[in-house]
Amino acid sequence: MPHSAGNKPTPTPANLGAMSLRSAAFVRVEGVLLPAHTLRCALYLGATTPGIPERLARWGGWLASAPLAAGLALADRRRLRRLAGYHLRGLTRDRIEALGSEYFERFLASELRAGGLELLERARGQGKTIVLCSRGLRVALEPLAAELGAEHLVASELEFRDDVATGQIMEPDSDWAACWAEAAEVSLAGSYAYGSDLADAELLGSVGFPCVVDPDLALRSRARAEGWPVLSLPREAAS
Amino acid sequence: MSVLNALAHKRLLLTGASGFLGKVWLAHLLEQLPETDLVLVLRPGGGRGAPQARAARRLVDLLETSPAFRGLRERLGAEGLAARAAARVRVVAGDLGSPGLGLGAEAQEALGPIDAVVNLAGLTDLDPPPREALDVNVQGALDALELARSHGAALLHVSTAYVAGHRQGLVPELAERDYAPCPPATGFSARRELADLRALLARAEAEADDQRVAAELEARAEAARRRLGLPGDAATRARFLQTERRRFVSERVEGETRERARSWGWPNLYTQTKSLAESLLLEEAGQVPLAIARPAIVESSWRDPFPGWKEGLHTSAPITYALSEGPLRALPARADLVLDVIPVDLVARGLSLIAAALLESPSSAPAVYHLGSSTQRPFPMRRVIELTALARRDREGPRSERFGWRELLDLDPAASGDGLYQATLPLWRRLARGSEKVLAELARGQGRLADRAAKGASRVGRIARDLSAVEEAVERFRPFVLENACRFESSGVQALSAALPESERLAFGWDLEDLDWSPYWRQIHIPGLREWVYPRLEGKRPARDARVALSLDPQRLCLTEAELDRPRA
Repeated sequence: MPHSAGNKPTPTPANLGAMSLRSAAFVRVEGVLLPAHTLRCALYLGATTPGIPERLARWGGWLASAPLAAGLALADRRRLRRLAGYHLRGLTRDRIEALGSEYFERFLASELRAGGLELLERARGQGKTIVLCSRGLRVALEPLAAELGAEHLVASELEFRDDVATGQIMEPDSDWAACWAEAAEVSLAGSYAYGSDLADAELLGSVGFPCVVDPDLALRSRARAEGWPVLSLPREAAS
Repeated sequence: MSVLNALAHKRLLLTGASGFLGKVWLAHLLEQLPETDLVLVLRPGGGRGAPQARAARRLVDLLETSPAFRGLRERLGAEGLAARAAARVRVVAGDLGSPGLGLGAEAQEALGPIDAVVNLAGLTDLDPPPREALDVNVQGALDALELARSHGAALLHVSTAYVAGHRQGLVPELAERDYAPCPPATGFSARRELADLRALLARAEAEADDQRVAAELEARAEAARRRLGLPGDAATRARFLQTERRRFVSERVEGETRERARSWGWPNLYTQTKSLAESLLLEEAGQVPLAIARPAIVESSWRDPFPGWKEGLHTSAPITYALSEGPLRALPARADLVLDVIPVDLVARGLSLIAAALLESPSSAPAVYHLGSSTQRPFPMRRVIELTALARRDREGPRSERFGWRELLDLDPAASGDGLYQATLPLWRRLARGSEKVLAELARGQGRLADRAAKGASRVGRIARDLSAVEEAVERFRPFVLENACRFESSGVQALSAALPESERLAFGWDLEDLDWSPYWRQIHIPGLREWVYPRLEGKRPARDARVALSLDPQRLCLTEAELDRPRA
C-alpha cells in the first residue's frame, strides 16, 4: 500500500474507468464541504449548558480562555480543538448528541459548499465509496453524512465516562486512512482524496488520486512539490 | 414456562381493570390470551338500571372509547373485539372501597369457579384521602384475599416497589411481615398501625358528626351545589354533603397521617398503606398461593396499545410538566439517584408472566416480583432531567439561524442542590405573594391606578398559585428524587421471561434491555404526556378517541347460570 506518492495523475473519468478494484473518495469536510466549525460547535454546546451555576461557570471559562484560543487559532489548530473539547467536559452524551445534530441543522446545513458537493457527486458517479473525514466532532457531522449519503464518516470522538464528556477529544490517527482501507478492503491506489490543509498531506500522499482544494499556504507549497493538482472552488453555499 | 399453556382455560378475576394499568393489561390479555376467561369487578357506571347492567355498560363504554383498546379495535375490528369480549369477559358490579369488594355473599357465590384473583385496584395518589386509602389499599386487598380463599384460588396482589420506603442500595425481592423501613426498637405491628390509623379517622369522623360542624358542612355543600347550578334533590344534596364531609375528615387527619408515615420511613400514605396491605396479606394468606407484583413508577406505554399512552396525574407528570412546560429550572435532585420508571406495557407483560407462574406452580411461600428498571436499565435523575429538557427543545422545533441573547438566557432545567432550589422557585413564589398583597392594598383606592393594581394583583396571584402548585409537586417527589437512593432487584421477572418458549417471547417477553431511554423519553413519553396528561394539569380535557360502536349488548357480559355451573378446566 503506497504511503507516499510522487507525481500523480489528476483524477479524470478516463483514468478512473481503468481502476477495477473497490476504491473510495476521501473528502475532507473542513475546507471542501464546510468551513472550520469545531470551535463554534463547542461554543454552541457550551453556551446552552443547563443549570444556572453550570452555565455561568462555562461562560466564565470561555471568557478566560479567549486570548489563548485566539493565539491557538493562529498557531496550532490541533490544540485549539483540544481546548474546545475541554470546554465540553461535564456535558452529557444525550445533550451533546441532540445539540450536535441541532447545530448541524441550524447552522452548518446552510453552509455546505456547492463546489464541494459537486466533487462528491462526481466521485459517487464514478462508483467511489464516499468517506467523509473531519477533525470536527462526530456528533455534529453524523447528520451531514446521512444527508449526503456518505458510507463512512471518520471524525473526532469525544470521550465519555458514565455518559458524561470528560473533555478529551480523540482525533483519528495520522495513518487512519491506511488502516481503514485495509479493514474495508479498499484500494488506496485507486482512491481519490480531497484535502485542504497540511494535516491532510499524509492522506493525500497515500492515495492514487490526490487533489488539493483551496489549500492553506503550507499545503499549497507541498502540493507544488508533489505535483498534486490544486482546485479552487467557488465559496458559495449550495442552494 | 409457557404463558399460553399456563393461562389457557383459566378464569382470572380482576379488580381495578378500569385503571390505567388495568386497562392496558386487560387489552393485553384479550389480545394475547384468547383462551383465558376474565371476570372483572367494576364499579357500576351512571345512568339507570341494575348495578350489574351499569357495570357491564361501563365496560362496553371503555372498550368503545378508551385509547387503551385502540390497538385492539384496529387489529380485531369492532366485530372481532365485540366477539372476543362476549366470549371471554364477564362483569360483576362491585366497589373496592366497600366491605367484601362490594360483592354480597350471594354475588361472591355466584361468581363460579375462579383460578386466580388479581388485585390491581388501588389509590395511586401519593397523598390519597386517608379513609379511601385504608378502605381500598388495605381492606380491599384483604377482601381480595378472602375472595381467593373462598374460591380456592390463588391471589396476585399488585403493590408498589416503593413500599420499601426510605432505603439505600439494592432492595431484594422479599416481603416481610410487619415491615416498616424505620421500625421502633420495640418492633412494628402492621395490624396495630392499621387499628391506630382507623382510630385516628374515627375521631375525625366523629368530629364531622358534631352538630355545629355538620351544619357548617351542610351549608358549604349547599353553596357548592348552587355554584354549579345543580338540582336540589335529596340524592344530589347528599352527594355534595358526602364530598364536604370527606374533605373535612381528610383535612383534619392528613397532616398527622403524613407525619406518621414519614416517622416509620415511608414517604407518604400511599406507600404506607400498600406496605401495610402486604404485611397483612402475608400474615393472613395461609394456604392461599400468593404472589406480590411490585411495579415501580408506571409511565407511558412504550409500544402497546400505541407508543406514548398515559392516563392519570400521579406519577412523574407534574414534575416533568413543571420542567418542560413550566417555570422549574432547578429541581432539587441527586443527579446519580436512579428513578425507577417502567413503561406500562412492560408491567402488563410482567403481570402475565407472574400470573402464569403463580398458576403453573402454586407455592405456599409467597413470591415477590419487582417490575422496574433500576437494576437492569438504570435511569439516573441527571438523565431524566436532561432528556426532559431536550424534549422541551424538540417541542419548540427548528430554531432560527441566528443565535441571540435571549437564547443565552433561556435556561434548560438541571438537577440542583436544595440551596439553589430554595433561592429560585420558593423565593419567586414568596415575591409573587408579597407583590400580590401590595397590589391588593393599592387596588383598594380609586381611579385608574387602583384598576391597574387590581388587574396586576389578579395576575400575580395566579402566578403565585401556579408556583405553589409546582412547589407542592416538588415536595411530594422529594423522597423519590433526592432522598431514597435505592434500586430494585428484578431478577424474578427476568427469570420468568428467560424461561419462555421462543414462540412467546414477542408477546410476553420482558425485553427491557431493548429500551433506549433517550428515544423513549423524548419521542414517546413526553409527547404522550403532552397529549394525554398535561391538558388535565392545565384544567383542559385531553384528546379522546372517537367512539367505535361495538355491537355488544352489555347483557352478554353478565354472568349466566350456565357459565357458573361450568366445571373448571
